[in-house]
Amino acid sequence: MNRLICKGSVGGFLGLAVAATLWLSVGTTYAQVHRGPKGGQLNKRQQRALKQAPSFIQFAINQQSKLVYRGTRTVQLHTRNGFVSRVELVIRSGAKERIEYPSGSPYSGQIIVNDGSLTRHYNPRRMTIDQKPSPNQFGFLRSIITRYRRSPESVQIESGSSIANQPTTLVTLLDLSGVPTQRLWLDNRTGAILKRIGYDTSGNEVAGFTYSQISYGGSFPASTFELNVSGAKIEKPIQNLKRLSRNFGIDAIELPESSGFSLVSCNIAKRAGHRFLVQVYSGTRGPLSLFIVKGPVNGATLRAKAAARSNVSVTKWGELSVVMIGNYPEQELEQFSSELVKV
Amino acid sequence: MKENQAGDQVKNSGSIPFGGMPEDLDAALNAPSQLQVSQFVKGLNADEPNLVWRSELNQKLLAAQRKVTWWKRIRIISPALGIPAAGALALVLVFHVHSSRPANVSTATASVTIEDSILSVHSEVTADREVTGDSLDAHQTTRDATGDLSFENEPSDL
Repeated sequence: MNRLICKGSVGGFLGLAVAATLWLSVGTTYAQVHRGPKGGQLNKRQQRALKQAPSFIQFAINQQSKLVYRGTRTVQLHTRNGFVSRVELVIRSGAKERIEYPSGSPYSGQIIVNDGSLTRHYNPRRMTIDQKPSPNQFGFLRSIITRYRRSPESVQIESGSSIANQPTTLVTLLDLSGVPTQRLWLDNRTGAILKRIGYDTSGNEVAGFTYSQISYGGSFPASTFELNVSGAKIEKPIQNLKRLSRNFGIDAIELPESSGFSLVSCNIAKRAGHRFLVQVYSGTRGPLSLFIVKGPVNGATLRAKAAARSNVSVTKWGELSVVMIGNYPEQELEQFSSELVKV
Repeated sequence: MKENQAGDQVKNSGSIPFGGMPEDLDAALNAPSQLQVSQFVKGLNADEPNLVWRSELNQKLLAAQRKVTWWKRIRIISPALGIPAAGALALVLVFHVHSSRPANVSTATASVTIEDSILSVHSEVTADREVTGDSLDAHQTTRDATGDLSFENEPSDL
């Protein structure tokens, strides 16, 4: 980090001025967020973390494409049955990733490989390889900087706890209501995300992972990030969409590739007696959720409830209600709705 | 003196006082006036109650008897009824409260609107996708680990 600060100084007077202004801005905001009702002062550790924050996030972003490591992490997902956790063995090289499961795990034998553009998931029990677009992790980290500049109070940066024996910096992202959307613990030395937790609109944990062990460096053969299993049937999200739409008794409709979105997954969700089709899309500017509901949906109610985090559009497709939710302006969401096609 | 006067009165009136002597009673019963009355009474038609009336009377008597029997039984066992009654009340309360829980849940479930459900799933799938990235999603996780069917991705497999 000091090295980066030195680089900033070497950048010349202009760079120093910009950095100083940014740090001053961060300091004011951070103090406002953390001072608390009794006017408590930031401790030295927090002040140090604060001063380093902007350059550290930039550093972490730049590091993502260079990260090479092998590690073990525990992933937790909240379901209606409570949290379900699993242990994963992860190998990463830049944008490429391979995930396997230890023997004894209910997922043992399954392999997930991300080659940088596509993610393939091999399931030996079903003899299938599910294929979907890779998540845009770099895009997400870059969006933190954008978010920070637009609304500094929505990003809190402070010293984090030690994760996998590595000192970390904790980055907390808040929605407009001040409820955390995510917390990330970044390795101070490498910028790797060692722990991450996602929260719902009420601030309850929804999903997360924590590395218990990590070894940086090394080299992995190209075959590590390839997945070729003879006899396995390749399944794409669009096939799921067609089958589930048929089961749901509706036309299969989707956002075409020309809209800039790729279908990631499709499910029929059951919640509190309601049943509806949900499609998740990956876009260059973030994910998008599409819901097909048999029956009316109150757009005003949905907008009000989602306002702290996302925008909403509710349109009709015949008798069906089509709901789009994402971090896109509402007019754009309505435009996307008009691009839906029957497949 | 008085007895003589009474005997004279009987003889004179022809009536039969209950406290008379047996000889006098036989004589009185055999008196022509008494025989005449006897013949008159024998000549009357028998006025027996009809069967319907008797049946109704029997029903009423039986009903009255039952009421009395129940009342007697209750009075006899009432001191012992307290504890079982309290126990039964407790059981009713316990089972009523217990059985009312699903009703409460269903009420709560009913209060969860379609908008709430949509937002819940949205935040779940978004956090799932952003946080765990390439890894198994909620459906794949729960399908293999718990058999949770809150998502239907592969109906033929569930």
